[in-house]
Amino acid sequence: MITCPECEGRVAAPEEPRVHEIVECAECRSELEVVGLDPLLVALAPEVEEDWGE
Amino acid sequence: MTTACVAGGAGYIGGELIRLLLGHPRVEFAGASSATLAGRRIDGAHPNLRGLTDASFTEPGRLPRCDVLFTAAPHTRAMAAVREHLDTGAVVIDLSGDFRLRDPGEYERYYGVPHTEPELLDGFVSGLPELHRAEIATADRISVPGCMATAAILALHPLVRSGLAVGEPRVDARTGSSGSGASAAHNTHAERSGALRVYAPLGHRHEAEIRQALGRPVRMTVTGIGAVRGVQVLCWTRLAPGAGPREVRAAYRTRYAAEPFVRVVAARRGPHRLPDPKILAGANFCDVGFAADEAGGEVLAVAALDNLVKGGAGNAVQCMNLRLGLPERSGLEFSGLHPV
Amino acid sequence: MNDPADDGYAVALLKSMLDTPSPSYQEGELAADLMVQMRAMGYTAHLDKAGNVVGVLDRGRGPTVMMLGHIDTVPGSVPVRFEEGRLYGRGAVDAKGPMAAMVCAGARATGFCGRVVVVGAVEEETPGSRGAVHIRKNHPPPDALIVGEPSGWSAVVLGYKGKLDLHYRVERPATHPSSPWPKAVELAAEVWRALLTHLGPDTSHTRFDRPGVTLVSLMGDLTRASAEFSVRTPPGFDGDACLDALRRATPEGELLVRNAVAACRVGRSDPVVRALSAAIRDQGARPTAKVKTATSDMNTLAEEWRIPMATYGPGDSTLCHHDDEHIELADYLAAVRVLTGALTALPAAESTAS
Repeated sequence: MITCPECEGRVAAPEEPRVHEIVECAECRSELEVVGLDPLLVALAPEVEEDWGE
Repeated sequence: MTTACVAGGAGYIGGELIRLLLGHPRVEFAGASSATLAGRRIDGAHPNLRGLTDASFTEPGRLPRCDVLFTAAPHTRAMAAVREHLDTGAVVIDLSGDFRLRDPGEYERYYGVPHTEPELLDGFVSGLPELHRAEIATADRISVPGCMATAAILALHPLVRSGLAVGEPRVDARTGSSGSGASAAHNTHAERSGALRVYAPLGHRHEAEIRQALGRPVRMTVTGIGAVRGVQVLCWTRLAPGAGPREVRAAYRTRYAAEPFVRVVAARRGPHRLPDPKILAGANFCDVGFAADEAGGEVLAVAALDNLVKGGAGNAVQCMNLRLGLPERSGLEFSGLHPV
Repeated sequence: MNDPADDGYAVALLKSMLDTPSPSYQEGELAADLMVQMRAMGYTAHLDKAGNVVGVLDRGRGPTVMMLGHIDTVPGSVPVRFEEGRLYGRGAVDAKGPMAAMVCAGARATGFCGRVVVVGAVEEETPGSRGAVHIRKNHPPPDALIVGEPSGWSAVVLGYKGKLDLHYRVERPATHPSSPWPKAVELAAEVWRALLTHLGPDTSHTRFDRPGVTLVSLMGDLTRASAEFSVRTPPGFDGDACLDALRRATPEGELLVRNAVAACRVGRSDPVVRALSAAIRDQGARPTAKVKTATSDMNTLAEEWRIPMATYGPGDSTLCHHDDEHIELADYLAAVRVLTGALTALPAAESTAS
């Protein structure tokens, strides 16, 4: 288990975590990005930006 | 097997009680009375129960002896009706407003008539398991709180108990039409559909219940909306200095972690971010959530429930389960529908 | 400029592509040039029936990864020149920069196991997107797809809004202006009004989840009128319901769909998104994820291909179609490295995803 940096809820760790993988906190539904593997570290993933143009 | 009856089974709350008891794995439904529909089939008033019971409503005084009696008489008429049942030895679970307020003066102020049985008030335990679980487990007289009061109390209690809420909360409640009861005169489709009727701008009865449960004054406004089932409360309150979303979330998480029927819903993403009664119809959940404005020093607590289930009959059955030592979820496992 | 792994080679390739103008419908010369260049880099390359240039590198057993960009540009000339680390030219960002970066990355990714297919599609800047449609129809779906458009070298595009282009025309008998019957130009205005009503009050060209709408043209007089409307549609937009509403509002005249393509949006855990994000991070930047309010060939391909995909390419998309169109060479070269890294990592990401 890992702790959501946003709400401190418990988040199930992915079975085979990979850096940059996005996991979702079940409690606050934040998108979290795996930023380190040993120890397993997650950070709040940046929001998807809305951009004009092609 | 344990038996249960419903006194005053013709209304919407009565119908929900009968529905839940008929589906209960550990308790047998033994009969329902009705002053207006005595002798008529139960499934005439509650067509969803067709095929589930062939019973008819009895006269009010003619219910069989039973272990648990739910009383669902209208407010102000329940006082006298309940007294008749107190000698039968049954556990009485009352769903009217008549035994919710401890202070008869307060009762008169909010219900407009003097309380005729004030000496009975002390004998009733408030039927809100989240606040009074231990007392309910041994109580012989239980008074189930009002639907909007239940929602507002569950929304605000973690904040008040942890000292995060300061000042006088303001409760903006929205309620579906079934809360007005099966016989409400001005509750026709023509009047209700699409309405946003602010029918209690100030001083709704449930305001007194919330104040009593939280131990602090609140202000409440109630708006009738077009939905049939469902209550949603938006409760504004000042945040204690220095408190923010983390402390608020921790308060809710700690308070409700072990509660089978309270879910904390405060998502940062997605279409279902805060409690919405739409998905709770028929289920015994009260969803609570919040939005905390740290800079502005305010928090909005939100709760939603089905007024007939967690706001009434379902909560009463939960109390019965506690009183009988049954698993708390017995007969209340329905998860709600989506889409609906 | 013989070593494809060389940055000088990559810059020279892009410069040569900018030197060959290729407005939509006139991509033939560039396609032929690019075919020759790709062959020189080791690709097996040909022109398909639509005029797309298709290059294939077979690197053994493994997935097929397609990188598809477009070789056409909007009209107009921007003098090709180097200035302060920038390369100017029509198409520098839209989309010859991304296209050249993909061609170079395919050649550089010698560690990749599988098949790399690089497509330079024609007519992306036109309503029909004929090049991408031809690929969609005739090429078997690859295992993963990278579409080349300017996301910025450190960003990945997860999706684009869709588009519904409408054309309305109406003729009415000649009548006095004071007659009670609606005049042709009034009817055209009425369709516009009905469109605004149907889409509701919060249309937006800056929000991904709301439709945006543009009145492209309105011409007419009492007897004859025409109008063009362009609706940029969010995921889930019901185009048929929109048309029904307009036809009900104005039964006169003729309302035609000129072009319709649905919105597309992949998730952030899409294997292609992850591979690109990881490769961006390896270059020392924090990857950003974007959704875009315009459309691209990703829409066209996503309508039929349910495969891992994302859009990526160097360049600032606000310079698309701009008189000052240019690309920062450092960004372009970083994108080549990102694509090379992502391509090399994709077979592994693919196998864990499936």
